Amino acid sequence: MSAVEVMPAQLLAGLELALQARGLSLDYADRRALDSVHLQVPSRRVTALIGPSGCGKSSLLRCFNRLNDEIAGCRVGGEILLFGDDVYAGAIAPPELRRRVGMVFQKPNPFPQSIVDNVAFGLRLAGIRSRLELDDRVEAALRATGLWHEVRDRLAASALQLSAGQQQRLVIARALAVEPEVLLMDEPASMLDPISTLRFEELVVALRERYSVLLVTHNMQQAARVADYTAFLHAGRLLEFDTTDHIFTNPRLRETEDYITGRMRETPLR
Amino acid sequence: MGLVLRLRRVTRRRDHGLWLAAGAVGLSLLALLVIVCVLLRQAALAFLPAPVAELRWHSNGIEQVLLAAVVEQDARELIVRASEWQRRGTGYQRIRRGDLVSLTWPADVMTWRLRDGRELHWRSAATSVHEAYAALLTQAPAGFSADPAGQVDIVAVNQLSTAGVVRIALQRAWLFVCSGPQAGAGVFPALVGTVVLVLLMSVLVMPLGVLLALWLHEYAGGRRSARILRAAMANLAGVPAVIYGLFGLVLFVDGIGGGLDALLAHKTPQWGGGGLLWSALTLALLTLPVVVVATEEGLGRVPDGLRQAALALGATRAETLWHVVLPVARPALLTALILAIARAAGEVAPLMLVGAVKYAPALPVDAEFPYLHLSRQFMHLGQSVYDLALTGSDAPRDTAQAYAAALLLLVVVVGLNAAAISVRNRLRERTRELST
Ligand SMILES: Nc1ncnc2c1ncn2[C@@H]1O[C@H](COP(=O)(O)OP(=O)(O)O)[C@@H](O)[C@H]1O
Ligand SMILES: [Mg+2]
Repeated sequence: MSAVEVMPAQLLAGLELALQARGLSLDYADRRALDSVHLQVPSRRVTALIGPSGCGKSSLLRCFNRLNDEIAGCRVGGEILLFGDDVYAGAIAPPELRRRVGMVFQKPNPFPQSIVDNVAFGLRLAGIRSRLELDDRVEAALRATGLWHEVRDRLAASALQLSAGQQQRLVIARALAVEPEVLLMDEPASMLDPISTLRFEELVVALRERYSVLLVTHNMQQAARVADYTAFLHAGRLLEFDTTDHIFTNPRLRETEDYITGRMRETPLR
Repeated sequence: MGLVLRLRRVTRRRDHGLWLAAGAVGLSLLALLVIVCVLLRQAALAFLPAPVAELRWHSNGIEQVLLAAVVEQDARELIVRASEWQRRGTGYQRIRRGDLVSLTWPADVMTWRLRDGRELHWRSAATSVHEAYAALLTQAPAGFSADPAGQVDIVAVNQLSTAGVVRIALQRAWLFVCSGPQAGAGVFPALVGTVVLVLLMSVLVMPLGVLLALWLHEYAGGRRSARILRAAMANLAGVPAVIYGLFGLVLFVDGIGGGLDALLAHKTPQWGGGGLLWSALTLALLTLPVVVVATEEGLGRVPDGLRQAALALGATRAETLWHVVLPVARPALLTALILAIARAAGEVAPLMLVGAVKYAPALPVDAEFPYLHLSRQFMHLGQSVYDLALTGSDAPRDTAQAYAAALLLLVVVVGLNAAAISVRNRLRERTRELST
């Protein structure tokens, strides 16, 4: 299946591409999870990735920051480009790549350290030692996620004392602190309450100004609310890619329509 | 099998399970209590001042008089311990009940326990130590002399109040803990040796065990070498301790130590004999499986999400381990240390082969450079228990002191563990929210 079939020609014409997957396939020790996936993630846009559980969304995300390298027996074929550079060709070392491509996980995973230390974690790894610069960038990251006003008085408190919603925004701040170019988000709002989810969505829309976001979600309304483009992944294949409006109002494929309308989905609409 | 089934049926009904569990806990506590009580009771015999009797009896038609503590008695005879004018353990006598004329407890008996553990009894109504000592000299056999300077342990033993008995017993117990073997089998050097040995063992085993566990858990995966190492650990854990002693003797003392001596051209063996370092290494080997297993289990409990988070932020594997995994696993590391200490502190058999001795001329730590003397032989509480109980020359007293040394060993083990546990609890406090 080529790129032309899954997306309308000229859809992304003129846009800078942050990430590109070309003929990407991925095999775990005992099964194939992705099969010749072509995906283009435009820069400074929010792209949603939807599809039934187990279709390979997380696996695909982990290809973009090479987190799959850590899984024994996992083999990746094809090409991944980050702003035109081949990620697997060895031009970019994985730690460097992961600083440029941040990731937020489904379950909020702050380190059992203070709030500051959490946000400063990536900065310290990057070799920043100056107190002043650390403080500045921690504050900027916390402001960007709207957390600053809630935690400014207890920066030294344990991050584990925050609510789930705050924790998720904290780990986003942690990812933003190292100023990545791309942000991968794997069902980041699935464990949040409705209010936190709302705040999170506002945050994603705001991030669009500076970052390229690839967001995996099970929540169709969320995709509709925040994403410019939506990709539909099914059984390890990318079946359709279009503007979010198009996908939700006028999908080209039967499978996409079935999934969106809930005939093929295990998790109900929220 | 039937019993297990029946227990299961009983425990399914909640109340019965609760009672069984409570019973098990109670039984364990009771057993512990009994052990401690037995130790305490026996150890007390070593320190409580024994009342002194005046015995009169006929021996070959001649009447004899003797001041002595009654050590043992049955229907036929008494075993008593009279004044030890020359050496410790020389005052024992056996008296047949048939020969006995009278046995009284005169109020004016004085008892002096000398620093070397000997006891002298005499009669004197003196009120000051100096007067009492003067009276002693008039009653002592010719040639006796001892310097009472600084001795306060001269007491009117038959007139002591309960508080007085307790005070003297505590004084003697304290002397036992903080003096050397010259003073009637004090165990201070053994106490120091035990603590230093366990600390050194901890310092040696923890880095090695944690590194092994890290390799096994974080790097090796299901590799064959990892499976072999795990199997080796499981089997090593079951090897009797004395085998480790033999191993240490061959590998460390004779092999490495002997080699070192040859290399450094020592005329008298310095490293080629048993010593503190070799003993600590032997114990480290002994406790390695415990540390590896407990650490690996702790690493397994570190949420995978934390590793992923660190990697996704650009941390290398080593950085992830150092900055995230190990700090989170710290309570488990301390658990490993606690288990290692518990196993090592009570171990005696292997040490006898690689460095613990009945009498060491110097402590393994002192004020002299390099402060910690790794090649010195040392004394150990476990060894003291063994020596006192089985090879003492003064059985009634030494046996009681063996119990006292055992009690002290127990206190050391519990103390070291309590220290580690309190550190662990403080760490747990900090990472408690993580498990939810
Ligand atoms: N670490 C792994 N090892 C082996 N198989 C995996 C692993 N992770 C995911 N898979 C398999 O790959 C397929 C895709 O999984 P995943 O990418 O997690 O799907 P999604 O995120 O869309 O639910 C599933 O069949 C899953 O069982
Ligand atoms: Mg997933």
